[in-house]
Amino acid sequence: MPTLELNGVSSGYNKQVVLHDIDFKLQEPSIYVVLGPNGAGKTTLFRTIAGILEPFSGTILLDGQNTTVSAQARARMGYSSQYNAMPEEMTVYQALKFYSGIEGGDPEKAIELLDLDQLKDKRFSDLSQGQKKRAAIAKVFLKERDLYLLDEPTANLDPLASKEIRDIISKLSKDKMILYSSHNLYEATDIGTYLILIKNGSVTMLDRISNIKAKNYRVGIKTATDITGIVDAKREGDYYVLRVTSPEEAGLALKKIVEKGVLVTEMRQLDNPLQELFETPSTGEEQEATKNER
Amino acid sequence: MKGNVVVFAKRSLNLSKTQAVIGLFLAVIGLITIVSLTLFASTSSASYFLLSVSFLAIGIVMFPMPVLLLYVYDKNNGVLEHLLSIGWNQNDIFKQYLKAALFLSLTVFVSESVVVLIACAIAGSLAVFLLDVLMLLLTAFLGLSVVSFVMMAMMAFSSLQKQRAGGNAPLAMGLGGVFILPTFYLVFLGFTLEFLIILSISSLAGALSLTLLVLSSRLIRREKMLP
Repeated sequence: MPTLELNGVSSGYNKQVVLHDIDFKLQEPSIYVVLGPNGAGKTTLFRTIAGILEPFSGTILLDGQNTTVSAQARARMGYSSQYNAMPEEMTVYQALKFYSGIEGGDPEKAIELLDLDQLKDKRFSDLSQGQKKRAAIAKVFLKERDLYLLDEPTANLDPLASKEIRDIISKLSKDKMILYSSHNLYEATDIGTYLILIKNGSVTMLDRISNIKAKNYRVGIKTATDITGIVDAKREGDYYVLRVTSPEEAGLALKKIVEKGVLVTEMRQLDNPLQELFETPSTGEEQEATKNER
Repeated sequence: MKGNVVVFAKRSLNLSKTQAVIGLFLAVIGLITIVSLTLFASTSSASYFLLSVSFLAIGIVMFPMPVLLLYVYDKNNGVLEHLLSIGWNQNDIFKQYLKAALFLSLTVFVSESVVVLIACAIAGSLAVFLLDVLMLLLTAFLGLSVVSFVMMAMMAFSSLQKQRAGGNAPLAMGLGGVFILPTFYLVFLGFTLEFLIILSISSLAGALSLTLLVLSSRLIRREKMLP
């Protein structure tokens, strides 16, 4: 199982520091969502891990090998940038063949993995945005690797195409370590097992997404009956909205409503628990507390 | 490990053919000059043979300019970033595009050489044949040196540009012109002096391109190759 370890990594462009003293250790094959607002340093983090940018200080180790200097360690990583990085004038197959000619690997296998058989003879420039992204991701799957770095693979895609890409990545993630960046909270909860929260160039949290609980969250209940007399709810649009502190509390409220013979047609969580993390300004204490190991 | 030079060369021609066509046109003018001299002039007009070197070389310099366009295109769409991610460094990237440009130049030079040698065979003069071979060698030296310098200088320049609107083709042609255009005006200096000046210009361009290539990793930071 691969281990990725960042020790005191600072990095950036020219002499401008974007990432500040990043420390974390990832040991479990899984999807780690690197979440942060635009400009937080997600792309810089990916570029630094991928060896595109040399860190100003600190080390990045993949199974103990320094990725900045070890070609062997670099060959075990695959990086897909926000840009498609595909020769647009080529067909999908030709483009994958172009890259396999440079770094080795099997275009047929990548086509099969990303389900590109129907598209392989089409010019890259003629594909839809979602298809382009799928083909672009295929190039990092030309070869078997231990660590995949996918920088906002669903940026600018419609929800359906995004879901399709996420499903493919989930399918491919068995026994692999995938770092997946996003600024979309719902996407993070949909695909990720772990969350790496990044703000202003610092990692402020690394935890299992299932461990992240909202202090307060709102539950929407859809019903034709007025339930304001049964529970403390307010009508907001199509929903009666309850403010609760835990899923258990929401369950108890639902039980109370149903016991009164009310037909509930839908119940859903209205806010994402990651919302609070996203909005809370980071503090030094938080950063220290979350320099934990996974 | 490194990419196929022919694929990069083909990609560049797919991207733009205008400069390549102009390059071929100039090469044809050079060929008409040298073939005419080969068939109808004597070695006493050797100085004029050197004029054909300028035309033949400018064709060699112009033809691979689409590679420069490809470099900018690949920088903009993230191909260079991907190449960095798989372990290439700045020097590897420059070398790859330079080799593609030199490959295209060589295809023009080989074609020119074949035509000139056929003309030599028709002329049937050993002295003219030797003079033509000398002219071809000088053409190769001048043309390939200037191509190398223009490519290296323009790739470095394009990397440093904040706004990358295109291949900077006019600037590249101007840069090539700085080295080649003066050779058109040397015809009255006499063969030996003219020959030595062209040799010196070629050596200077070659030395500059080699220096840029060697220093490329230090001169151009990796982030300058990112989209």
